[in-house]
This record gives sequence, structure tokens and C-alpha cells, in this order.
Amino acid sequence: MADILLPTLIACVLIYSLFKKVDAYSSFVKGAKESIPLIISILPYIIAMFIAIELFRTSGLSAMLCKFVSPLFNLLGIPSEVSELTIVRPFSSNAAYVLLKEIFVTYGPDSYIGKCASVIMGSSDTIFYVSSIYFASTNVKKTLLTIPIALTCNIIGAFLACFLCRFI
Amino acid sequence: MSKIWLFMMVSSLFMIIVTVPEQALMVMMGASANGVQMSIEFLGIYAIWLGILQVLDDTRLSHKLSHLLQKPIRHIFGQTDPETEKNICLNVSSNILGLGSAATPFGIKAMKGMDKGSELATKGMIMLVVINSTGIQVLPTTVIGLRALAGSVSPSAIIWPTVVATFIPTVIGILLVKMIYKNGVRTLFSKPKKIKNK
Repeated sequence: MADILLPTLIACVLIYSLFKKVDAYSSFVKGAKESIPLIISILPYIIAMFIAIELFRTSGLSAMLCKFVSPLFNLLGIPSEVSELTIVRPFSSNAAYVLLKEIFVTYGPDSYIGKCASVIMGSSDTIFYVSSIYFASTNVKKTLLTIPIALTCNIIGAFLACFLCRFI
Repeated sequence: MSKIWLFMMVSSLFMIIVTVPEQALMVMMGASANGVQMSIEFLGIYAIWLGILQVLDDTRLSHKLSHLLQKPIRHIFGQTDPETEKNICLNVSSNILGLGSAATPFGIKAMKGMDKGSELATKGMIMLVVINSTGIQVLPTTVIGLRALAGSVSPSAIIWPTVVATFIPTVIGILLVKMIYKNGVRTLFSKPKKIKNK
């Protein structure tokens, strides 16, 4: 489905531009040019975030955080096997994908744990990364409650994931 | 954000100095190089989508699209200019289609549009970041692909729980942002301690 949808959409847009007598080529180039200043403005933020996340993992602090939080997650019905994934997910997509693959190997993708992990993975995003690059291009220094709210939503999502997976 | 970063850096560095000090610099350089490499990959992806966006703009298709979604967007984000509305609209649509990386450039442009030069994040900005963090998605394509690779008998069985588990937190997030702003408890916002609880 998704494989066909996007190329079709793009093709439709290009055909439409033909009817509208718009020079699609120069429009595309003009738009693509914007990506260069954009990436330059967010690059330092990406680097800062990557360093912090990688140090956090290497130092073993993220593992400690998992140990600390997983009993709390158990209370919410989130099994210990997926609590590490729930914690890593807001920090790093790649690390979360590695964990997801490990869970698939250990428990199988169709087990309860495997399904929970899949839904958690699909239903959340890398909060810290998203908010750092989204705020990067603005003058904002104080992000206020953005991260607490996003984290709350993520935990609710993980809880729902583990709850809903009992029925499939 | 700055406080979280500082906290992560200082506590991690401290731990590394105690345990494996020789790794600290290597890890930092590796992570930095990784960030640069990823940015270059993103540059390619952003160029495609911003290019297509420009075509959409010049054919005025994007205005039609954002006109369609104007009401719900105004309702959620409050009053913004048409350009920002369009970017929010494109950001949300690409998220729904499962194109996280296409959503980012539109999201950043929308953030810029909402920036009034203040140091404090506005309601619209927080709303956009929260919506993007809950990962509104209809087709979790990557996860389905991984499940199939791992030999699942029904890789797409997780679609409906995923949709529900993103939709409800997204709604809760929107309501939370709205609620907090309505009550105008601005003092509440300067409590960074909440962050470290997680």
C-alpha cells in the first residue's frame, strides 16, 4: 500500500503542475535549496543531542534508570521485558530498533511481549531528538512543559499498547 | 531542554570518569560523527520533500490542502498565519502517512513561523512538538517490516493497537496542553524537576 501511495502522489503532483503550467523543475530546485540552510541550522543541535545520548548510554546511567523505573512500569501493566524499550525509545530510534530486534529473537514477534514491543515502537517517537531540533530554529530557550507532557503521553501509550495486545 | 542536556552530560561524564574514563572522548567523537553523517542523510531527504513542497506551493495545491484542514488546525493550534497553517498541515499529514523524516522539515518551518522571538515556548509550539512526539501514525511501516523479517505469521496484526495507542495519547497530549494554557498557570512551567522524575 504505502509503496504505491507515495510515488503515485508525487507523480500526480508533477502531472498537475503540467496542467497548471508551472515549471516543476525550477520549483523543485528552489525548494530543495532550502534544505541546506535548514540542515546547517539544526546540525549543532543534532550533534549536541547525539553526544549526550551516547554518553548517557555508555555511562550505564540509562541501564540504571531502567532498573529504577521498571517496577513502576510493572504497576501499570508494562512487563519488565519491554520497559527498557519504553525508556530508550524517547532518546534514540536506532537503539530502540536494536532492542526491538533482540526482543523478536528472544520472545518471537507473535508472542505477547513481541507484540507489546512492536506497538510501543510504532506508537511513540524520539521525544528528546524531536524537541531539540524543532526548537533549534526558534529563539526559544525555555521549552516549559513540552517534555513532561510528551513523556506522559508516551507512558500512556505504552500502557495502552500492553493492554491492547492482550486482545490480539 | 538545556537543563536536561546539562544534566545528562554532567551525570554521564561523571559516571564514565569513575568507570571507563578512557572511553569518554571516543564516545563523544563517535556520536558527533554519527550526528554529522545522519544530518547529511537528512539533507537528502529534506531536499526531496522541500522540493516537492515548492512544486505543491507553486501549483497552489498546498493552499487547497491546508484550507481543507484549516478548521481543526485553528481549533488545536489557535490563530496562526496561513503559511504556518500549511506547514502544520503538511507535518501532520506526513506523520499520518508514516513519513517521519518528511514531517521534520515541515515541522521546523512551522516552528519558525510560530516564533515571535520570545524565550518561552508558545502553546502552538508545545502542541506541535507533543503531537510529533506521540508519533501519530496510521501505517507503522518500519515495525511491520521488521516483524515480517523476524518471521511473524501476521506482521500487520499490530496495526489497530498501534493506531489506538497513538491516537489516545495524542488526544490526551492536546488536551493537556490546552488545559494547562487555559488555566494560565505560567508559574507551573518553570518547574524542571518534573522532567527528571521519569
